[in-house]
Order: sequence, then C-alpha cells, then structure tokens
Amino acid sequence: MKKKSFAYLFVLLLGVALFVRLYRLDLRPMHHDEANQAYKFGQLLEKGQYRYDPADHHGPTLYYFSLPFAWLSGQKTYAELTEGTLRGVTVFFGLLILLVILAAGRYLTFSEKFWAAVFLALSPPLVYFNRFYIQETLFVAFGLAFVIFLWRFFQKPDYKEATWLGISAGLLYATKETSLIVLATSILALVVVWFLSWGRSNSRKRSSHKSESKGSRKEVLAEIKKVALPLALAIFLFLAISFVFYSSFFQHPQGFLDSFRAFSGYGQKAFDPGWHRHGFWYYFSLLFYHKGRGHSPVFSEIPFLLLALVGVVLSFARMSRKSAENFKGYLALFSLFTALVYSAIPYKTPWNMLIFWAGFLILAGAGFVYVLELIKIRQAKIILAGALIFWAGWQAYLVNFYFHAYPGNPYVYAQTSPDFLRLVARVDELSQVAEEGKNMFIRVIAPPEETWPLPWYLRKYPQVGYWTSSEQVESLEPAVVVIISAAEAARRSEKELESYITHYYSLRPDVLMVLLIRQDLWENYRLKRIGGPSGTNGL
Amino acid sequence: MRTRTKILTQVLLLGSFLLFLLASMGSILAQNQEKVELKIQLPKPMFIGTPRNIKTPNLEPVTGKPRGPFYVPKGTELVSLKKPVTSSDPLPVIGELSYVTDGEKSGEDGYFVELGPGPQWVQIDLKAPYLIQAIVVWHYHSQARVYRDVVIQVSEDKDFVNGVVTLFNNDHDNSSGLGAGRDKEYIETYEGKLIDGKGTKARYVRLWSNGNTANDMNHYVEVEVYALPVK
Repeated sequence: MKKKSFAYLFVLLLGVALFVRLYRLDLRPMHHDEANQAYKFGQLLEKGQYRYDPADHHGPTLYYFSLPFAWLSGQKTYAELTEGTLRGVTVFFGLLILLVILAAGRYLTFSEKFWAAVFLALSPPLVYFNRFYIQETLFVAFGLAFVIFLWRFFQKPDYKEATWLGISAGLLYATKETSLIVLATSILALVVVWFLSWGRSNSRKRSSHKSESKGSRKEVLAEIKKVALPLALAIFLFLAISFVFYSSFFQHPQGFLDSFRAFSGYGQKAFDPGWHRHGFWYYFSLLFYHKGRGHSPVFSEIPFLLLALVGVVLSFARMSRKSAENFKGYLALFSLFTALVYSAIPYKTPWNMLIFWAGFLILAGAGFVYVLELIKIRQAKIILAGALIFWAGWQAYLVNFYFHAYPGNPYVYAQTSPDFLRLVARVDELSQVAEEGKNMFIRVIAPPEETWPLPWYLRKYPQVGYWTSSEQVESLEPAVVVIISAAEAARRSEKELESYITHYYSLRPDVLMVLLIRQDLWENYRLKRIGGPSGTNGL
Repeated sequence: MRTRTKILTQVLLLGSFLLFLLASMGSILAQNQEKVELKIQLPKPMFIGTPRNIKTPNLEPVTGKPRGPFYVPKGTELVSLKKPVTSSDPLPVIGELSYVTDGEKSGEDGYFVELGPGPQWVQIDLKAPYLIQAIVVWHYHSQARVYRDVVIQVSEDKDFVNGVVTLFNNDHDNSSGLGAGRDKEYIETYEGKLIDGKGTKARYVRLWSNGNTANDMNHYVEVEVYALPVK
C-alpha cells in the first residue's frame, strides 16, 4: 500500500469510526458507573472542585478532559450536561486510539496499520466502550501510546522520544492507578524481546570483537550517558503530569501520594472482588462465542482471534530478523503478558480486556496482511476482506445499536435496563402536573448499588433527597414521589403506603425498583393526562 | 301485665336472633361442604430471592411462602388443556401459541411463547360455555419480572364486543385503551397468578399484557382455566 492511498483510506476510516461511535450516543441508558463519573465531573464543572479519592473512581484525566467538551457545548452545570457531551469525550479518545497506530511509524507497514485501524474502528467491544463514559477508553489510548513510545524510545533514545514517552506514561497513570500493570508488562515484554533478539546479536558481536572489549565498554558507558538524560526527562514528565492531575492542579498535593496509597485498596479489591469474581478464561470466553437466550444472535470475535493468533505466531517466527518485526514481537508479548495478568486477577469486568484486546487487534491486522499475501487470486482477497469487514460491522451493529442493553450481549455488564427510562419518563410527566413542577419533593430510598444512575436522571430536580435505608426515613410524607428499592419498600408500614400508588420498574435484570406516587398527585395526573373511560375495575 | 309483655318480647327477640344465627351458620357450613380446595400442579421454582415482601395497596405482596388455598365448587375441572389459542400476534417471535394450553409450566427455554411488543392478547376458546371459577396465568417465571397492563376478560362472544366481563385489570393509566383498572401489579413467580372467575359464564378467555419490566415483549408459559360445565 502506498503512502498516499493509506492517507486517503485512513481519513475515510476515521470518518466511519466517528459515525459508528457518535450515532445515537444516548441510545443506551446511563450505566451505574457512568452516572457516578458524571456526578464527579458535574462537581468539577459547577464548583471547580475535584479531589482524588483513593478508595474509588480512579484517576482524574476523564474529568479534566471533559471540561472543554462541556464548555464547547455551552453546558455550565451538572443539570445541563447531556449523555452526548459526556460520551463525546470517550468517543474522541476512541478516535485517538486509531491515531496512535500512526505513531508506530516504520515499525508497521502501511497495510498493517490500515488493517489494524479497520479492526479497531469496527471492533464491537471497542465501539461499545468508546460510547461509555468511564476511564477505559482514555486508558487504552494512553496505554497503547505508552507501549509504542516505549519501543520507539529504546530504538532511538533522544529527547523527542523521551518527551512522548513521559507524556504518555503520565497521562496513563493519571487515568488509572492500576496502569502499573501496563507499565510493568510493557517493560517486561521489552526485556524479553531484548533477550530474544538483541542479546543474541550482541553475543555474536562480543565473540568476534574480543580485542575491542575496552573500546566497547567505553561505548557502553557513552550509550548509558546518552540514554540517561532523555530517560530522566521521561521520568520527570511522568511524575510532573501525574502530580498535576492527582493534585487537582496543585490544589491538593496530597492526592499524588494518595494515588500510591490506593494500591492496597485496589489490590484487596482485585483478589476479593465479591460478585465481580470471574474465572481465568472469562475475557476470552466473551470474545470467543456468546449466545443469549431464545433467538439471540451469536456474538463472536473468532475471525479476529484467529488473525491475532496468526499475527502472534508470525511475530515470534520473524523475531530478530528486522527491527520492525521485533516491534510486533514486543507487542505480542505485551498483549500476552497483559492478558495473562488480567485473567489471573479474580476481579474482572468486560472493559478491563480492552487494553490487551486492542494490542491483539493490531497483531490481527499484521496477521491479515500476511494471509492476503498468501492468497494469489485478487477476487479471493476482496471476498475475504469484504467478509471480515461485514462480520465486524454486523457484530458492531448488534452489540451497539440493537442489543445495547440486552443481558445476552457479552459486553453488557450490570447495565441499567431500558425499562428504567420509563420510570424517568413517568417522573417527568408527574412533574408536569405537580403544583411545584420540577421542585416537587422526591425521596430516593435505596442502598447505593440500587441508587445509581438515579442522581444522573434526577439531576434537573432540585428537591431530591437520598437515603440509603428505610430506617433513616421516619415518614414518607411530604414527598409526592418516592423511588424506593423493593427491599426497602417492604419495610414501610401498609398504612403509610396507602396514600401512594405504586408501580414497578426494572433497574437491572432481577433488580426491581418501586415508584410511589402520592394519591393526590396521581389523581391530578390521571385527570389531566389519562382521561378516557374507566374499566370494570376502573379507578 | 306490662312486665310480662316486656319479658315475652325480649324472649321472642332473643329467640329470633338465635334462629337467625343458627340459620346463617348452617348456610355457611353447607357452602363449605360444597366447596373443595383447588389443586393446581405447580412447576419447579426457577427464581429464588429477589421477589421481596412488598405491602402496598396496589402492589401484590410477595412473601416467598406458598399461596393460600383457593376454594371452588365441587366438580370444577381444568377445561383449558389443549384448547385452541389465537392471538393478536398470530406469528409469535418465539414458540407457538399452543404452548399456552399444553400443560407444560416449566420456566426454562422452550416452554414459553413470545409475542411482539406493545399491547397483545391471547385468547382461549373453551369450545363450550362454562361457569369459570379460576384462571391461573404464568407469563414467565425464571426472572423477577412484572408484566404491565394485565387485563383478563371473559365473554361468550369470540370478538369480545358483547357481554365482556373484566375479571382483572391492572392497567392503571389505561395505556391499553380498555379502561383504567385498579388491580395490583404483581411479580411473576412459579405459582402463577390466580384470578377469581366468580362463576362467570363464558366460552372465551382473553388475556392482555403490554410488555414487562425486562423487555417490551409479551410472554406466556401457560394459562389454566378451571370451570364448571353449564347445566
């Protein structure tokens, strides 16, 4: 593939990737975690307040990078924010993942870069989580950038490469403290590749140039000096960027130290994960084959898993022949080590696999180029490429636009049910007939795991109170609307509930919420909105 | 004389009251003698846990305990088994309409029929008029779900234009257009929902629903109609 053709095709691909990610961005109800992040960002947007919490929520880059998106959208308060603005942030960084491939430069051919970009652009899980307002997309973008710049730095350890390395490392760490896994696996991959390739060539050199050993030592020292200063710059940038973000731009310096203290908490969570505990093969089982109940379609990434396998085998087979091929070996080792570490940790959520799956997709691009080279018939190449693009596109459509909240979708995890939007719509309708309008008093009584994403959906109601248990609320009155978990509702007295009409709504599969509407408000609503004849059992 | 009349009146009043009391008790005892407990064969419970004890005026309590006995006149029998079923969605998304009356109540895949989204009905033709005593409905019981706008009607008219009797209606906001109901929403369980037929004479039973809390589709595992033949 020529440079010019690659440039045109890459721009076209960026357009397709942008469309796929932006189309109906508000389709999927806000996830518990998204709403949580949105609330944190809302505090930063409205009050300029952010303080790193070592117990939860990860690093601050997501919030700070969301600011320009809100400003450009003219949204100045939490209440004004929309799903489109928030998810637009992760869509932007989703595109950055594609652009990061360009940083691989001469270490990947144009064809390899193109096919890797195609697979990343249409990858169902990647598209799904690029439309998801959590840190993971930023983490993948900065993580891949770090992996590539680490390689580039060790190929050419100058100040320019050191700057990129330091920036990517700093942003990666400021996105998630758990990025230490990525930092460790990429350095380990680099060391292993060095042993496998450079080590051998160096030993050959040593045996043939024994007489020049003194000179070599001097050269080594000179090399170390040459590397030391750029490396120091990279480390300085890493620490500086991390400090700036974790200290909330110098407002809370303690935040930087807290980010290291957070390791113990995350370590504990990783090995005592509660209901997030999944088996070793969890990630690959999601990618391999998944089918929901009834007439659910098949969700599978088998073609890309096979191509990634080709890419990995090819990378190892061609190790040490050329520097460019060693990059793929390094990437293969990084992806394998990272997959191994994440699979060994009992705590698992589907989005955690993105960092190594993105690595495997780049290798799948290289594998596919090799397969195309093996095929001599032009038409067969076109059919194969078309079939792959069709499969990726079809799967991306099913995952993101049709089964976006369906439990049979392998990437749907503790997702808010679409039915929950009916509860939100009913509350909105009630506010339109309530005397106080949006100022009506709403009580939410539910444990935290059953409260979110309500604070997002009720952000335009100023009179909302949240209680985590029924014991904290002596009387439901004077609330005209109460949203209560099924368990907490059971604790209220029958007499008290007589003054409310109740409806069930699904928060998540098997988690039902109860909407209590005070009788007078319901009557008002019924008269103004419903009307019509009453049935045999009419109200 | 006056005192004697007064005593006589009091004795007569007391006697009348005792006679009335005995007659009433006799009547109740006679009624109970005629009634027998309705025995319903229940499927294996699939869902354990989430349904919680909700006590609200229009929310069915779910206690996790078996449903109490329901009494029907002696001679009441299951009259819906294998009877023909029609629907507003003649081409179900999953399963077949015959599943509604095939006697299989398992909550597993392959035992339920799925109808399209929005208000949909299934109708059972009992092939003859009966005095309906009870209707038991299992929509879907392998997950904590609430089916919306459940309306159960019976009639002798297959088109449900004339002589329609609504036995159950929890469509509180009249979204199905059959009139607003005041019955309670309920969580699906393996016990099914039992509706009192009140001895209504009818040949056809029509059951409406309008999606559920898990999705927009309408499901039926089984419907049983218990009735007495019309003499």
